Amino acid sequence: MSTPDHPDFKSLADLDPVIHAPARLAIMTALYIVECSDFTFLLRHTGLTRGNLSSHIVKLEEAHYLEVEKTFVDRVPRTVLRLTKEGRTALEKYRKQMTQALNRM
Amino acid sequence: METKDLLTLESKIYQEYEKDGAVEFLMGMGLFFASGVLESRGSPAFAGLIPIFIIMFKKAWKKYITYPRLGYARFSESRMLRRKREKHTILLVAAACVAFIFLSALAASGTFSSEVQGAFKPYARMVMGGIIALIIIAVAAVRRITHLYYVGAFALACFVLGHFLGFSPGIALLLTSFVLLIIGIIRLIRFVRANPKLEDGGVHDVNA
Repeated sequence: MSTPDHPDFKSLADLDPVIHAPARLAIMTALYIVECSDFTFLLRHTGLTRGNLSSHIVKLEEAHYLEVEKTFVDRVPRTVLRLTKEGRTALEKYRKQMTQALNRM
Repeated sequence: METKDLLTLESKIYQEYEKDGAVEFLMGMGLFFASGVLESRGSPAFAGLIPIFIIMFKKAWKKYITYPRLGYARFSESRMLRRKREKHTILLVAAACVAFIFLSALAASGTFSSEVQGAFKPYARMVMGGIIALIIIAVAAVRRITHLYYVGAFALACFVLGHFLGFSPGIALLLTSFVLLIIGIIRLIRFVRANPKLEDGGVHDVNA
């Protein structure tokens, strides 16, 4: 247990680097709130550009935090994104670590 | 979702989808057609088609107006379940209203005996006004749209006035539908201005 004199920085160093990037944190939080969403929803709520959003989504997909499902609705393609169970757990863990670290400062 | 902040955030995002004017406009359309059925007195079966027409129109509204601007999102299971229950309640009340319109049209065409018609007729407008106001207020409560409470009260007032001044329920429905259509159009204009359409909608290949 840390004290104000000896703050515990280890928990900050242990933060998940995949989620810690602001853009990816925004994507993860937006997807955590809803069950799933499409690309437009994320564009609106994260304020990222298309290219930026795409690249971060790919990184999150590679980390198995997010899954991309391509479906057709009325013959129109729709890309639906959702957090995996792993992704949800990782975000919850990140929140907990971050809150604890900030409380110790 | 366990924290209050995230629940508030979810609620805020969910409310954005309610600001497109669809509820008011489609209710207005429904009442407009219902007034047509009442006034024409010739095609009561058409009343049953109104909810189907509204559901189809709502799907198209979301597809072409709401989703290209806000994006598609599916909300948490608990919210969807609550929404489903609310939808069933409204549908039930709406079905009661359609049944009532159907019965009114049959009564007007002289299908029932004079005794039944005699018992039914004096209070028909009041009951219908009550049901219409109830539907509007139920929608207001479910969707948390404050101004719809006033529209509900306005609808009831129209029917009560109709009872005393002698204008038909169809006219009361028509007046209510106009108010709803105007509110719907105003909200739609505001929504479209506040949320410009994003190019290529929700279609994007993240692996491209």
